[in-house]
Order: sequence, then C-alpha cells, then structure tokens
Amino acid sequence: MLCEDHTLVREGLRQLLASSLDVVGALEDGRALLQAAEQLRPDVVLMDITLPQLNGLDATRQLAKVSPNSKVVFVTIHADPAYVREAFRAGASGYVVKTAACADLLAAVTAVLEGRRYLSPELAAAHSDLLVGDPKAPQPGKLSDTLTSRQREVLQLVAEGRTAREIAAILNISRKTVEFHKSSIMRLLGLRTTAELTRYALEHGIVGPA
Amino acid sequence: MRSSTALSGQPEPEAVRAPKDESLGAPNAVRHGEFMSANAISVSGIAPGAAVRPRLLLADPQALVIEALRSVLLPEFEVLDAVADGEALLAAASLLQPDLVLLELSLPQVDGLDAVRVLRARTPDLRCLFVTQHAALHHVRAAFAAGASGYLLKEATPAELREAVWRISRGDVYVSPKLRVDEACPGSVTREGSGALTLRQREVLRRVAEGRTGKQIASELGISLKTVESHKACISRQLGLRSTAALTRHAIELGLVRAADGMRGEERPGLRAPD
Repeated sequence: MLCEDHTLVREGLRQLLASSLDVVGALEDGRALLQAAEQLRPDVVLMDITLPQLNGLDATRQLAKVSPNSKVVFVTIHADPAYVREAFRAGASGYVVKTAACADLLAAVTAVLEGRRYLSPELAAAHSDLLVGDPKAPQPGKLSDTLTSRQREVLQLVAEGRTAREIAAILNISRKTVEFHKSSIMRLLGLRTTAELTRYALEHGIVGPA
Repeated sequence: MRSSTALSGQPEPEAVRAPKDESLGAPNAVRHGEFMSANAISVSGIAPGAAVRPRLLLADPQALVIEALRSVLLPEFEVLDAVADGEALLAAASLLQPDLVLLELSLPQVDGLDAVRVLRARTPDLRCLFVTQHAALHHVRAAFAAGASGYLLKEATPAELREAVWRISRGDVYVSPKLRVDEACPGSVTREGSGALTLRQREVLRRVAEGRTGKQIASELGISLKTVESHKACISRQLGLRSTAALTRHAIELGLVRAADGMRGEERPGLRAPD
C-alpha cells in the first residue's frame, strides 16, 4: 500500500512497483491510509512523512492499532537524522530518501518483510548510529512526549489552515472539544496564537511549507 | 526494474534510439537532436498518437520522482534523459536539444528559474514546464516571468501531465487548474512581476505571522484597523492563500519570520528541507 500526497509521484510509483509487488491501494493522506489499511491489512505501507490531514509519523503510530502486522517504510525527502530517529521511534521498519532509486524501495520492502530494519545506504553511511539502539527509548523534549495523539492531530489541522468547524467534522468531535484541545495545546506549548501554532507545527515537521 | 535505465527499456518505436541516462556524450544523441528539433516544434496541432512524439528532458533532484514521472510519460513521449540539478540540465539541454524541458523549481546548483532564463535565452523555441510541489502564486508568476510555458503541481494526475505536455508542445500555455483560484484577479497569474509584495504588505505579513492581532498591528504601524484588514485581504488575494496559518507558513518561507524555537539549531535545516 502506498501513501503519498503528490498524485504524479504516487501514480508513477504505483506503476513502477506493480511489476514486482501487489499494490493494493494508493492513498493521498494519512486518514485515508488508516481507513484503507484497516480493511486491506497490507503487508507493507510505503508512506511519506509530510502528508495532509494526518502526517506519516502519527499515521504510523495509529496504524499499529488498526493493522498491527503492517510494516511501515517511509519514503521521504527528509534526510535529517532527527526525522529518522523519530520515524523508527514511531514504529517504522524502513526509511528511504526520495533521492534513492526505485531499487532501494524494493530492497527496503524485502528487508522489512524479513523482519529487518532498513535505512537508505546514503543515510546509513553518514549516520551509523541510527540503526542501533532501542528506537522506543524516550527522547526528552520531543513533541510526541509533550502532546497527546489527539492534540497532535488537532495541531496539524489547525496549521493546515482549517477552521474549528472543519476540524470538528474531520475528527468527528464537537467544535467545543476542538477549541478545548486547541487551548490545551497552546497552554502546554506556551503559545498564544494560531500563527504561533502554525510556526511550531512547521518547525516540527507536522506540516510542510505552504 | 533495478535502475532508471531499465525503465527506459520500454519499446522505442523510433528508428533512432534515445540515449540512456549515463550516455550524455553519446554521438547519436547530438545527431538526433539536430535532425529533429527544428521540425518537432514548428508542427502545430500535433495530436496524441501522431507520428511526432515530443522529446523531453527531465530535471528533479529526487531520483524517485524522476522514475515516477518517467513511468507516466512513457511510452507516449520520448524521454531523452533525466538529471538531478540545474547545471546538469543546462549541459544536457545543449547536447540533446529537447523539445520540452520538465523541471522542478528547486534544483541544486542552478535553480529552476535561472535555468529557464538561460535555456530560453539560448534556445528561444525551447519550451519549459515546471512540475513542482510549490503552489504559492508568486512562484507561478516568477515561473512565467522567467519564460516558462507551463506550471503543473505534483498533485496533478498523470493525465493532466500528459495533457500539459501536448498543449505546450503545440505552443499553448498551461497552468494547473487548481492554481486558477484567483478568479477575482483574472490574468494575475501570468502578469509579470506582480508577485512582489510592497514594503507595507511585507510589514503587515510579518506581524500577522508573528501572531499579532489586527489591533496591535494597527497601533504598531500607526494605521487604522480597517487598513490593516485591507492589507491582509490584499496579501491573501495576491498570494492565493486564504488562512492565517497559510500566511504564516508563507512568511516563514519568505524569511520574514523564523519558525518557532523547537528542535536544536543543528537539526533545524533539515526540517525545512521540502524545497
């Protein structure tokens, strides 16, 4: 299963992978992915980190609940080791940068199906520490420790410029609850305005640039 | 399907084979270019399936994106080569003489806009189509000002991409339908140079992105609240961005404000990587 918001890239990759893999679904945002994965239970999910509605990291955390046997391989432009650590910590099994060739993707899929962790060779060479150690070890100061999963969902939707009404509809909660989450987030992060929340979300890779 | 070369190993109906990725210097590439380019552009009304396939050159820093694009462009078009940076693009274009260049805005070495300026100055007939993730209207305006013939978002469908390539080969201009958000200002996208914000607009935008209220901005700039609101509406319209959140992200992109303090400084550059 594929999850990538750029349709050209998604469809192109789907065609490329179809000759070696059975691509059961190709989705464009994190929420659609979770729905499809719950039904189709894919062996492997190839997904981007920056995704609309629900980013790849949070989608991976939630995927463990709806389809626990699905392995996640991130396919992303982020070559920053901070992202790689966070990705493995969120439960990913593989991490491939988009500057890699398609052959790398297939190698990653093979590796994670065999129960191994996979990291793009160019990243592995530069940061040999990324593949060792306990990925679940807590890292102080990380956003995933400061905010709850629901709070991070609300933060992303706010930073995408959605209104409280839209957020309420997407998350299937009341508008009042959305406002409550928003004010809790502001209090926890010490921020006062939507603009500050947006900058924070951007800085933490929860949303991509406009 | 181990490498991009294998991907181009699809049936190639034309007598002259396209050079493979690695063979930029192949002599047949040059002959092919001289042989074809003059005709291919001047033929008008080419329809899909017609004998003349536009000859394309691709430029994107991400190999996976290149492979994805190639797979949706073949076999309808001839992909001469694909490169990862602007310098390689300029070299490959003069060697291969493509009809059309598909490129990302953010390219290493020589960025996409500069590359288009150079390419168009060298070969006025050469058409350039941006295929990019950048949706802000000022990018679109800059692209056309630099001499591009088309601007397509990566969220377009493969059918839209193929349509754009055909249209541009015929001499048309193409913009992703989604980018025509600005019905209130028709022609705004193609009007050259209008993308730049005025000094006052930048002052307002920066303060909005810093989280100031309209009232605070009014008192800081010594103007009325109504004027602030009107500046904000103008900026939104001009940039094609509708929410405070989107304006904030744009202001950060422009460098008017820095993103909030988060991860340590050394880790920060990578977080802004999507360029």
